[in-house]
Amino acid sequence: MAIWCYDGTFPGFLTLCATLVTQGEEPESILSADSLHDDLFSRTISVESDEPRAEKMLAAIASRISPNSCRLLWQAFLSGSPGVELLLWRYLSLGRTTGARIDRLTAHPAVAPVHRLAHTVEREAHRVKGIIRFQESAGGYWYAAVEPAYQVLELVAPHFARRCAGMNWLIHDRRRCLALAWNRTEWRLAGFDCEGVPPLSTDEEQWSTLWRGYFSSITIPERQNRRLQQQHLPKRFRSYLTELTGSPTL
Amino acid sequence: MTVPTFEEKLRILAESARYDVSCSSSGSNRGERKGGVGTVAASGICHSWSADGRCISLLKILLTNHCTFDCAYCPNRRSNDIRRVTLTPDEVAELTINFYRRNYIEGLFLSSGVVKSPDHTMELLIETVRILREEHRFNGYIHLKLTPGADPLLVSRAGRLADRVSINLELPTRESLALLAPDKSRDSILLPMHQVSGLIAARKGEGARAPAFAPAGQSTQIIIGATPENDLRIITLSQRLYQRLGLKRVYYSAYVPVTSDPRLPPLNGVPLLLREHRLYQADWLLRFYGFAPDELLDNSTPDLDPELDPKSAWALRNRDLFPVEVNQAEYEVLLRVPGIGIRSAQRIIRARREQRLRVEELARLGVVLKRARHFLTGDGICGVKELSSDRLRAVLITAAKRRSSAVQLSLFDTAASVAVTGEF
Repeated sequence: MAIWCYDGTFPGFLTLCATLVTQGEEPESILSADSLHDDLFSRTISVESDEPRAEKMLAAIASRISPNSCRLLWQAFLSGSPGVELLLWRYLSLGRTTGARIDRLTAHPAVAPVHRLAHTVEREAHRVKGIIRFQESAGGYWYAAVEPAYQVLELVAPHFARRCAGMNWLIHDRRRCLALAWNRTEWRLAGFDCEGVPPLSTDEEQWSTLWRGYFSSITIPERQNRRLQQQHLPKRFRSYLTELTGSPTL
Repeated sequence: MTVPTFEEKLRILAESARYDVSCSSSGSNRGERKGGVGTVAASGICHSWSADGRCISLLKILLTNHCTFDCAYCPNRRSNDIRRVTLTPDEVAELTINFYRRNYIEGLFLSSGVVKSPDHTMELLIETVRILREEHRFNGYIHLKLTPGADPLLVSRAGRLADRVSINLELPTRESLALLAPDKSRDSILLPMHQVSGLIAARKGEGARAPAFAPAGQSTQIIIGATPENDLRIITLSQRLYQRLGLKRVYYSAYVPVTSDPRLPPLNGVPLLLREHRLYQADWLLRFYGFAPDELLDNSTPDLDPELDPKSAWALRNRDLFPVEVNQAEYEVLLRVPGIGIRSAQRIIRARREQRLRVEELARLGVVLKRARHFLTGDGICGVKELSSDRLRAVLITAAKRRSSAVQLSLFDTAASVAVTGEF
């Protein structure tokens, strides 16, 4: 059995798909290099990521299948869900025979799961727009740390670029060691390995204390419903929320 | 008494504001401004959830909790012995901007106790918003409360600065209002409401270039359970507000007795929260599902069924209309199937253009079948045995219980529910 292997990036995956198409291969397994384990009985075929080739592949998907497919593939890919590559490859193969009609085949077994994954990723991105907490650093830029379930930084970048256009900010995905940075002109995603929080501005403590106070006072005690609160605030977000960390002063 | 710190003032004014339900930040479409601070998001964004499970989207605060009115249901009523504090318009603007930059909030929800006169109060509220918009160049979401009896000129200024304006109806009838809120006349509430509704309608005819007027519309709030009106009366009123005045939302607030009087019996709040929940469900059916109040309730059954959601209750009374065939039924008919929401109905319509749908495909589309399967067929096949109405009722109640064990008692406007129903 052959395992097709790529570098774990979206361009890498697209390059791999382009290779499969030109060679007329049907893969039984597609894995990113870091999830590959030694397997004596399998042959591994590695495909190097090739930016221009990936671009061309994406353009071909947009014109021969549909622009919506590009977005869908990317979002579903960001889920990083095990086996997603093969799922997307099957979706692509179907798309090559159906063309734009694939957008309407929403109940097809090769299409429905892709929509579902993309939708889940989109929901996480929407959540992240709300739960990010910026802290003003002594150096004058704004820092936020977050551990989203999926790699959604690029999906939220346009939102924060518009909303916080006049601030220099950095959003740190700690789980993936990535950071999204905005310098008031453009945003960039890059690897970022850094423990801890930058030194904060002298004002920061004052505002976070006020926010914690507000947060506890806005609760109607007669309606207390912790379970409902926790249902909306998954664990992965809680340690980064200003209002749930530190102790509120009375 | 010591002078309160800024933090204490903030906490007191948040406590005084928390009984106003609305925290929605959706539905506005004001464009961006170069060099301004912030944006609005059409679908609304929740930033946190308080310990009562309600979404926090806006900084909800009063300018002051001093009040010359003496409304029986309100914690800030003149005769209530609480600590009174005031923030200046500048302080509120500064607080909003700093919370906003940190992404704590989506914007501001500003209200106030009535000080000196309704006009004076309205002027202070408007001044706060003016400072935010003009001096801080704040472009985020602002929900501004109108003061009952405020001058029409002030009302129209408010609408030009805010994304949404609202004035609370408070109680469903003129008589109840006179009884519990002697300082507010029904007309002092209805006149600004009518004025805003007229100005919003007029703005729609003016084209994209005209200055915005309350682009996220107008809302109101009704207190439930402090007076004897039944559910039929309440949802009929809501329907009129939606149809005649074009309101975006009517909020229902289960009455929480805010009093320190030890002679009153302790309140068991749960049934009232459940009633509030059912009213929100019925309200959704009016706005997005094409139901009329008299389909849900009538004079012989004037209150919503506490055990069952109003759509299931309606379907049980109209079993001759079911099952519906998902491959043929019109969109409006699909929407009436218990368990099928707007998103599911849309998915079904889109998918069936390309293929016949069986129950299997419905599941693949993400349609939740627990309740729905008793009311539909997929390509002629139902998949469950037909049950007597009593059995079916029991099954539906159990299905709902399982769901609400994950706590569904609160249907405040979370971004999720907004996204599902597409309230814009």
